[in-house]
Amino acid sequence: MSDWNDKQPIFHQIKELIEKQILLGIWEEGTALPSVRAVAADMKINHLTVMKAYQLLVDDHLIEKKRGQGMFVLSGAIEKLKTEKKQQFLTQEIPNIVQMLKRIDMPVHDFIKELKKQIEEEK
Amino acid sequence: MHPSLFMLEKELLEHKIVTRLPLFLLLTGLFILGSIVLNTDSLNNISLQFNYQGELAPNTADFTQGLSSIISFGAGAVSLLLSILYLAKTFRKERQEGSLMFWRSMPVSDAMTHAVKLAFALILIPLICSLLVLSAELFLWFVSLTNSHDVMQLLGETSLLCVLLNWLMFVAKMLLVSLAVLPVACLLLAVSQVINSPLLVVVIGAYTVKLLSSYVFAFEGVATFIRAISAMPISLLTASQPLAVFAQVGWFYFLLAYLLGALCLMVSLSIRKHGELDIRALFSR
Amino acid sequence: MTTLVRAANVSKQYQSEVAVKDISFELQAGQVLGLLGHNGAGKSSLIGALLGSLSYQGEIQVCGLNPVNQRAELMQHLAYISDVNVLPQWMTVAQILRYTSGVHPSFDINKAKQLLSSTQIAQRTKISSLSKGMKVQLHLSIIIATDTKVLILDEPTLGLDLIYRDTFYRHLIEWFHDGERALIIASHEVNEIEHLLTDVLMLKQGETVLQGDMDSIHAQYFIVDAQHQHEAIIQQMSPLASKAGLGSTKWLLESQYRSQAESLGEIINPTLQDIFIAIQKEGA
Repeated sequence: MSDWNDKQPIFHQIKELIEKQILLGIWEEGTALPSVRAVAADMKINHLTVMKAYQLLVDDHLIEKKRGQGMFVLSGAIEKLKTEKKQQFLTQEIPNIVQMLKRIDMPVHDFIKELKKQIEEEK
Repeated sequence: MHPSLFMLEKELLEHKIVTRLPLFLLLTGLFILGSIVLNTDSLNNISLQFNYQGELAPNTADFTQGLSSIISFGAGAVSLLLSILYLAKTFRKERQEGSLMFWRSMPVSDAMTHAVKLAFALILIPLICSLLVLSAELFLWFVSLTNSHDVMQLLGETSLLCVLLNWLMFVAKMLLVSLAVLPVACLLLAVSQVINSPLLVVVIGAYTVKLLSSYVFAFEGVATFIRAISAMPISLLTASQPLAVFAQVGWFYFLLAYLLGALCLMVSLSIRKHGELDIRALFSR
Repeated sequence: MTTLVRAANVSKQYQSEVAVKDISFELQAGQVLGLLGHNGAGKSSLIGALLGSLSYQGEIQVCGLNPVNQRAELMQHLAYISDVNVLPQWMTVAQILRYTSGVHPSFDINKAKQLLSSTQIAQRTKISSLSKGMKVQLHLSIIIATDTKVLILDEPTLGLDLIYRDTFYRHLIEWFHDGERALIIASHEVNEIEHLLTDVLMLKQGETVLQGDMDSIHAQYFIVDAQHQHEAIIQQMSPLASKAGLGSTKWLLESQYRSQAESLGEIINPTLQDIFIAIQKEGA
């Protein structure tokens, strides 16, 4: 059984998982997502839950339903997700960082220096 | 193929003794017969004895008939025994091993199940045992064909037609036995669904009822009825005129037995249907 | 949607004891009903009634048929797997397939053989020598190869190891998704089946204590993870259950208190298991 957190409904967690996988390139633009049946069987959940998650992604214009063929990742989905995640980062993560810097009395320029160092190491 | 054939096949697989015991008896029987017939020394002795006794020549036919009727009685008794044991066991086994739920989960009606079980006990088992008779008779016929004059003298005239006739007679007789056993069969099916030792209960129950009616109520009718019906199968097996046995028992007792049998069948069907004995369900149709 | 199971005011009484009291529910194609309750809560009696294997008061229709009087016909579309193995032990796998093909009009023996070929179960094996997991798998394969509309599972994975559980649920979900079917799962291992369910019927001492679809059940309860200082306030909301943690306690509350409790701590969605345990403990 998969591990679900208890903060959000499962269909929401599936949606986020698929979004993450699209960003990682596991599901490329224009290719098909696994069928509802396969996802339900793999994750041992009700297929209605999977359908709900897919519907959310359709509503966000990230995937589309092709009649009789299943769900496909729309072209431009990655770009869209990146913009969305950037927005999310700015509105949700940055305030958290600000809070944290305050709590540990870390000057902003120290933080930026540290950030630059990490980015250098990544390369 | 009709579903009932698959069901009969299943019974055959489940109750292997029904085929194994007759097969075992056939092999031992053939072995014994074979050793008697093929041992020419002892055969000469026998024929010598017969010759010495002189006037016994016309009695050879009796000997053959005697042998035939021994085989026929033996096979009949085995068949009867197997039928009774099977009827007492089949429902109880399903219940005890837990497979009852599986059989009930198949699209097979309770009436069909009962019909198959009865047909298996009262038609298929006698037919299997009739093969015992057929093989023995065929063996004797074969021996008479190939062997010497002495054997012919001992066994008397026999022909393929005789063999076939004897076999058909046996089958017909066994079907009459089955007719006589049918009410008891229904009783066993009903009892075995609720009680773990149905044979014991039926036998003791019959005796108790017999004693009660004779000594407590001083009414011999019930005792006579039970005695007549329970003696019927064996009387039929030994009788030279089986139909006469029916006449002896009388149509009243026979009808009564069938009425009680029908009641038992209804009870048995009801238990099978509701999973318990539900008196109300039996009468509210 | 087609209604596949309809039960109205079903009761079952043994000599003096009430096993099941006044239970009503409906099940449509596509629904998965969780029949939840401890041992002796009445699950088995209700299942027995649905299968037509015991008499009951009330009305039951499965696929429009009466389970007692039309059992033979109904069994073409109704199947059942229980924790106690019901398969005849003395048969071989091949024999049971042959028998089923003979008496079950919609049984596709090739499909069953194909399903079994992907497993460890050999045709010549006697059922008695199969492991518990294999027996369940064999039974499920037989059912998948018939035109079953309603499947009732009674503690199906009890005593099964994890790998068999996984294959079992995989086959089950794939089968379920392939047609207009309904599923009833009776279990007390709520965790395992929670995410499969669309509907819940919770029994306690023979009576219905919680009934509805998953969304509405989840909407009825919430958990607040509040610091100890709020205990007095929360106690007034008559919490169903509590679980003490480090520095805070998780309280299971009914949703009418949600707006009041939101300021007291973090709000968490309760799992069905949380709700199940709380309700079964209540008043006990």
